[in-house]
Amino acid sequence: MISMIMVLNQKGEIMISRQYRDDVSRVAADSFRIQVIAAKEASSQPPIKRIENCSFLYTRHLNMYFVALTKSNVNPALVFEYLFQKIRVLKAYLGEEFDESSMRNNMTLIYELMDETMDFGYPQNCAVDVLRLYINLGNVKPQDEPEPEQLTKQITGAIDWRREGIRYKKNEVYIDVLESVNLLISSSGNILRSEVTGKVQMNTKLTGMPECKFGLNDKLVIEKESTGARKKPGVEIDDCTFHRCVRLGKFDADRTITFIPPDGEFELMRYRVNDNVNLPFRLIPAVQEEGQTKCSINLKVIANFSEKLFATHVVIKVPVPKNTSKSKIKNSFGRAKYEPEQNAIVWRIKRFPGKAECMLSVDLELVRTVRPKAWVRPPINVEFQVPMFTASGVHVRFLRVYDKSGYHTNRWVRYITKAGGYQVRI
Amino acid sequence: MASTYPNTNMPVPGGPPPGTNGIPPPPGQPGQPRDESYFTESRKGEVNELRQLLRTFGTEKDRNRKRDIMKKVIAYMTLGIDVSRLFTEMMLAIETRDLVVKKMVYLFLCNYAETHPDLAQMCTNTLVKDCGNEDPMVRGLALRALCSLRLPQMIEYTSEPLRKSLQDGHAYVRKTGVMGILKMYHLNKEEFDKASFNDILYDMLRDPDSSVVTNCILVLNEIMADSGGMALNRAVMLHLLNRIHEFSEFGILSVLDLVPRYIPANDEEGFQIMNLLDPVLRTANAGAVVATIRAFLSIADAVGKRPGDDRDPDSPTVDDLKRQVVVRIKAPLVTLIASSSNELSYVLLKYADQLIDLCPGIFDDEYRQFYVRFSDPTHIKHSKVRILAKLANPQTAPDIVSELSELIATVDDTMGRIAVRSMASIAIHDSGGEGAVESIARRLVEMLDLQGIPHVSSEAAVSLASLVRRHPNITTVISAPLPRALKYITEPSGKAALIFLLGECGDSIVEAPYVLEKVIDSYENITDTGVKTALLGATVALFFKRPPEVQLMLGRLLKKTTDDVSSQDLHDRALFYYRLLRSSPDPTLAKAIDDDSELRAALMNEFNTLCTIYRCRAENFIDEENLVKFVKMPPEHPLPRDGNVAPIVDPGVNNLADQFGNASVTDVPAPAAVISAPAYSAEVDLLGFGDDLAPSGPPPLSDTNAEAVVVSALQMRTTPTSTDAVESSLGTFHIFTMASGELPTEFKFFLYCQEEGGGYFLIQAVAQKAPPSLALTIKPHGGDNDRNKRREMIDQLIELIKTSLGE
Repeated sequence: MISMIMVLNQKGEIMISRQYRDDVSRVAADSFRIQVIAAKEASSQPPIKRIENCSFLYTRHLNMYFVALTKSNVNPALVFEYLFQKIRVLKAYLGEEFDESSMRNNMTLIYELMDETMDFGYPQNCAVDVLRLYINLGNVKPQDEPEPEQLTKQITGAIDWRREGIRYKKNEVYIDVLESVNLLISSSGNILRSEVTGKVQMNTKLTGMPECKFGLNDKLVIEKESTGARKKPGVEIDDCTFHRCVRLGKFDADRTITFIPPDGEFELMRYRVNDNVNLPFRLIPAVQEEGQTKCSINLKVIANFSEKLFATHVVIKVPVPKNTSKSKIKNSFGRAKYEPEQNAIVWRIKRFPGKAECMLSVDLELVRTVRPKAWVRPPINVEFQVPMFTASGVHVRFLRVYDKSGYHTNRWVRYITKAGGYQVRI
Repeated sequence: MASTYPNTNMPVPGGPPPGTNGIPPPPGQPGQPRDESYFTESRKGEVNELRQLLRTFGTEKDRNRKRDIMKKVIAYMTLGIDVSRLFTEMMLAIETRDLVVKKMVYLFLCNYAETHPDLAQMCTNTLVKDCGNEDPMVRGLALRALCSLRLPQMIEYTSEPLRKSLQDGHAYVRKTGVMGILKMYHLNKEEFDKASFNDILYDMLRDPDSSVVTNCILVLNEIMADSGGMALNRAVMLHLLNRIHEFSEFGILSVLDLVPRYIPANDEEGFQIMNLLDPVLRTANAGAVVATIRAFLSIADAVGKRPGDDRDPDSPTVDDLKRQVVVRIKAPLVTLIASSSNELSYVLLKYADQLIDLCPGIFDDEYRQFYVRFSDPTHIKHSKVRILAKLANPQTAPDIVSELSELIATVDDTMGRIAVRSMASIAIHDSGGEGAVESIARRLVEMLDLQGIPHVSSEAAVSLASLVRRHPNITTVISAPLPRALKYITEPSGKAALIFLLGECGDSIVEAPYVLEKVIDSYENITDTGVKTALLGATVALFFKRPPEVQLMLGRLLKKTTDDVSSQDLHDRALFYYRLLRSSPDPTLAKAIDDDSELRAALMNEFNTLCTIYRCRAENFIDEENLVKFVKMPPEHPLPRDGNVAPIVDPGVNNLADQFGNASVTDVPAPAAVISAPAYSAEVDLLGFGDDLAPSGPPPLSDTNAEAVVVSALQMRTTPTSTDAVESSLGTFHIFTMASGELPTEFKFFLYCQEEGGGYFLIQAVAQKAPPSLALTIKPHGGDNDRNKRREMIDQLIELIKTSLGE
């Protein structure tokens, strides 16, 4: 169990602390400040720190530290899940980018939340929708206050992610399929690793307690449904996890995804696809070091998606040696310049059409160094976004909404593929 | 100017003169921005001002202004300013209908009760009264505040409201009450024993609300910590498992944590529990997933066959089962690692590491998942690289080694070191297949010459030293550059390793004695004891290889080292060698093999706790009073061959059975109803105090007088399309499904049906997809004992099943 939760700012001062057990004290914050925050170690050290038999498990939001202290042998995954849930709850109340001052201005609210989400060191009710019902001091608009009778039923009911009696004039569902491609290509051009992690996010504005059925072009399902001749290729999903509203027993039995959705935004599922990844960009680099003072880099980038689409926010970082003094850059698209603080040529292309090819050629002049040290050649890093494209090939086949009243639902689907770690070694 | 501020806040003499911004920040909170609404400078005067404000509280009409006053008090409290002087005023504000104000007063109360017990006692009456408020929210809050006062003398006031709360009509109050019991337990154990809440808590495990049950489990576990956690019997365990889908995200963990302490009554029950928990692996909560893994492993431990066990030779062994478990959980674990936040990834990587130790080889094909990403934080990179080394097998080793060599030259020194070490460990464990040891040794030798990156060359030397100990035959590969490398490797550990290597490879390096001689002659310049010790060891080793050349310098070295007083160890060691050599030059070196299998087993027992993260046992870092040793409950019902099979109701199965209920013909025999009805309905004695009430589920699989009929490899023309289709088709023949599933290569069905005479048949059907074939195991139970007749029935059954499966 958790003995204390504290929130510290960048200087290590306690902003909020709630003590659940007697075995630790606020003084512990000092040792955390000295050993973790002041040591500037927080980014490279593991998120679990043991100081004199007291374990500190911490995570960060902006520049604040959310720290859980414990003296017992806890389940660390549980503690982190709690801390993240806590931050999620605070985001719901104070806005996505809540910061120190909004924390301080709302600290009575935060105390309320601290007490409601945890009692004597054990997580209690952490579902935002239910908390909103009876803690409504912050930015959350106070909803019509339900009768106390009904309220406690909600607080502890089996479906704690949705309350009854929600009403919308227009029933709408927004579905976002967000994918991030991770790619690592060796200097010899072999794909070392290619993988897509995706998530399906929903924003539901639905009346009542609707039952939803959701379908992707999952290979296993498609093979089962289509017989013989007209077989559409499905995507082989390696593994997936779901929001807790999804009936897992049903999924295991026949891979249908059915659920009663929470109101508003939530993450329905996450999945992972390893095989047959459509890589949106192909990069062909060529680096030549000529003696100690010259180096030339040529890079060809080919967009591998349909002409109808285009990529946005493309940033390609081509690393150069630290002792670069002059650079001559020629490029066909966008803007490229040498940014010494990043030790890289940064090439930005706002809009990259599908099937297009771009070239970048760089001639570098290097300063002679007293002690020549081999250039470590970090990888070329690419960032991009391709709207309406999925690298895994996943697409939404259907979303059916059933409700007693049988209303009509508008559904909107968006796809975005982003670069996770998209790297090419040179 | 200064008059606008209360004079208590005048700058100290000698401080900066009072000016527009000359107010020094108060001690204890440097750099507090001045524009923040509640955190402006604290002054004693302000506390007095607050008192004035509070006095107007009673007459204040505006709800928001009332709240603002309260917020100010709480803000001061958070800053660590003592506002306990306002206690009396705050107590007057407790009589309010505004919940927000009430909560703030309670918070204030809990914070200062310990330091002002007598004042706190004054307000207990109000709290006790609030415990009887009509609003359940207020009742809950008051109860929580009352129990959080942490005043031993208050016990007498708390136990009554507590008892009442446990019977409250609202789950919120009950759940708070249950936690209150725990608080009381920690406050005063004797009083607590007198109150005898334990039985009530056990009864409340049947509470219709899952959050109350969750708290009961948590509280009981803590109260009973001395006897190894909450007492657990089969009825309780099954009751909880059957309701597991009702529990909240965090509540489910409390149930899952109980499973490892439960020993399943028999093998089937163990497997049923695993089937039931399987869906949990798909939840997004990493804590629940890992807890499920732990539960699976412990069931495998209990169910699997051990050597020397006289069970059925076909039943799987513990190790086999554990492997199967790890295979099952591999994909979910990898997904979580790839998609979670850094903190969770770190924790999960540690778990994966431990699972790899448990079942080497299983994660091998996922090795690309453990490639380092440029954006990973350092500690995750380190964990990944350590794991990568363990995933090497002859197929993957070349890729892994080349990936590791990419990491050697990164900016992060530690990373480079770990990469070198990981590479060496592949060679040391010989997991890379034929030729791998040699090629890794060559790579390491190349690294010796990487003068630009001193830490890598030093680490390479250390790795080579360990490699030579394991594979002495590689000395020829590595010997050439050693004398050269000794000149530019400066790090003590690397230098010591090189000197050791020179001793070991002495027969293939011609100049070895002369290189060492130079080092010996400059002995006075060596500061590091490790290097000195290595030098001593290497020279002795070389002496046995080439005595005439080394004898003299060994003598000089022994003289120097025995005179050296900087290290006791070195001195003793030198004397030891000296005496050993004097008696007879034939030392036998004892080799100690590092064996940590015991530690690993202990860690596995504590899987899913901080132990895994720190890689040491709980005793080593948890204070005695916090140390809980959960013990397994003895299987007080040995139930070996004739007991009833556990009536676990899988939600999935439940659904299917419901569908049957709608579709089935009217003269269906009883069994279908048995499955669809919840095994423990609310009226039934849930805790199993009357065992005779145990429901009649499908009959037990193990029956002594019945023999199983096994039919294997029946040729099939087609494979079934889906489990649903087969089940509904079987349903028309009155053959019912207990469980079914589709695997990549096969379908599995567990079926049962009843014959006219009342006997049962239990059927396990496995349909291979390619080539289409069918294997059946049919066990008759009860009913007619006439063999021929039974055989006839079974033949009929086989035909029916074949038809249903798509013939």
